[in-house]
Amino acid sequence: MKAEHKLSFDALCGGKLGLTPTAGAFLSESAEFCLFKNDHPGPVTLNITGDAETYGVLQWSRPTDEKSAERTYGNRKEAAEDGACAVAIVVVTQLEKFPAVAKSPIGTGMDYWMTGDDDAEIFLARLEVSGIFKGSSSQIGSKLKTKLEQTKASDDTKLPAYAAIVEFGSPEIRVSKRNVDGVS
Amino acid sequence: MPTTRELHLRAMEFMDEALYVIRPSPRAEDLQLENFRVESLFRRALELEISAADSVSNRFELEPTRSVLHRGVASLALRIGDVETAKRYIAAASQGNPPFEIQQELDEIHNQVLMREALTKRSRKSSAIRTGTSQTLVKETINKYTAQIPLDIRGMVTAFGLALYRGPLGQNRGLLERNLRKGGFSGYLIVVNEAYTVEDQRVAAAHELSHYMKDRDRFTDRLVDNRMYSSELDNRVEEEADKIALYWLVPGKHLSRIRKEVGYDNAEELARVFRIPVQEMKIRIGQIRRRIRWSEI
Repeated sequence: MKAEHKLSFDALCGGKLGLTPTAGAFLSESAEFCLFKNDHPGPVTLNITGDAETYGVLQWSRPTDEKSAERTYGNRKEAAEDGACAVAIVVVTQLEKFPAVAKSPIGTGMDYWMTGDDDAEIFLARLEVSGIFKGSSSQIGSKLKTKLEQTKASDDTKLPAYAAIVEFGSPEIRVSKRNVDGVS
Repeated sequence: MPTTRELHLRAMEFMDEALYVIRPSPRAEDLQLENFRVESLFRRALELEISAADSVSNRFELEPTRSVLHRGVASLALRIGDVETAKRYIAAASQGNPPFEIQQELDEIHNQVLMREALTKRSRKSSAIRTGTSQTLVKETINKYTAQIPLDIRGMVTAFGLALYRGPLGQNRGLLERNLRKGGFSGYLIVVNEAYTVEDQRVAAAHELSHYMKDRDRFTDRLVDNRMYSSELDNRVEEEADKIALYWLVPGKHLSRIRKEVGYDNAEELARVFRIPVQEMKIRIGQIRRRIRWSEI
């Protein structure tokens, strides 16, 4: 039987999930813009698929100033990628019981890791995220497959890798965990 | 004394402030100030990330934390053009036991560092040790991309460390900008006018790339080329950028071969093959002195 999860961006925006409030607010706002442009009600039911089949009720707010939101998040592909990070961080930390995420600069971007409470072992599991503004189930499946394939390169970290694809049309998040032995 | 985690988190706070604080696209006159602000934040992030990486430098068992922190230092240093620091921390990370994936990323950053160094110093040093050839890294990259037609202009722009965007530019064709937030690893970006045809956009991107390679010391942070490819720069400089852009998009060796196949002066078909506007193809054909063949005498 499916269990309901109460989800919100509050902890992310409050700097409680490892990211600074600045970054949390930016990523959350991107997600809210994508939900708004897909005409979703607030709160919205988020289908959680992949390794787990469940759903969550996601609290979110419409942009207070629609015009400036349009100007800020006009690039929908970029907004979907950033917004996907917000949704994935909220869902994966809650479902997998990680206290927080950590990030690190990589080239001109950032990568996300799940982190624990240890002061030195900061990076515990890699989190690969991708976003789709509006797409089909097969598009989500295909992106997830690609992402999982990419995580094979992390195998000798001896750490698990999570791949999460967020689609804002439904909305849905498909999460899969890949352990070092390759068994998802 | 702050822990490794605290140092890293504080570094990321400065990085977040540099990257995520939403501001309207700065006006041309504010761009220099904005770049200065972002660079200062990156520098503070770099100092803290160096402290975090140094605190685990001898903890070789602590992977991937050790290599990820060293990679973080290299990435931040590259963003502000501190190639020496970037190289030092890439080497230090590799001396440990970085997981395969992190090593791949370190290699990628190392290549970007070498490119940035080559372009900054206008290095004439041979890349023989690295590649077994006697070409400079810049020339080698140009040769790599011009070997295929139609030229992968996005790939070439990215290889030199610039980001390429399409955007509304009004009557202007292209724009070259130093933008530490949205630029590639060189800190620069190119915008081409989304209202123009793809062929025109390709020429505009190559034109702006040429300005980046040759003229970036001649303007302050932003250069805009109007509809006629004229800018604040001297006309001679603009003509040179035009010429170089067409050399890249229509390399002579390919042009000679394709002309034999499709017809010597068939500008329409040649333009289609090289994916540039017919008018530009005619200019390129005009750049090559026509040789009279024995059969025509």
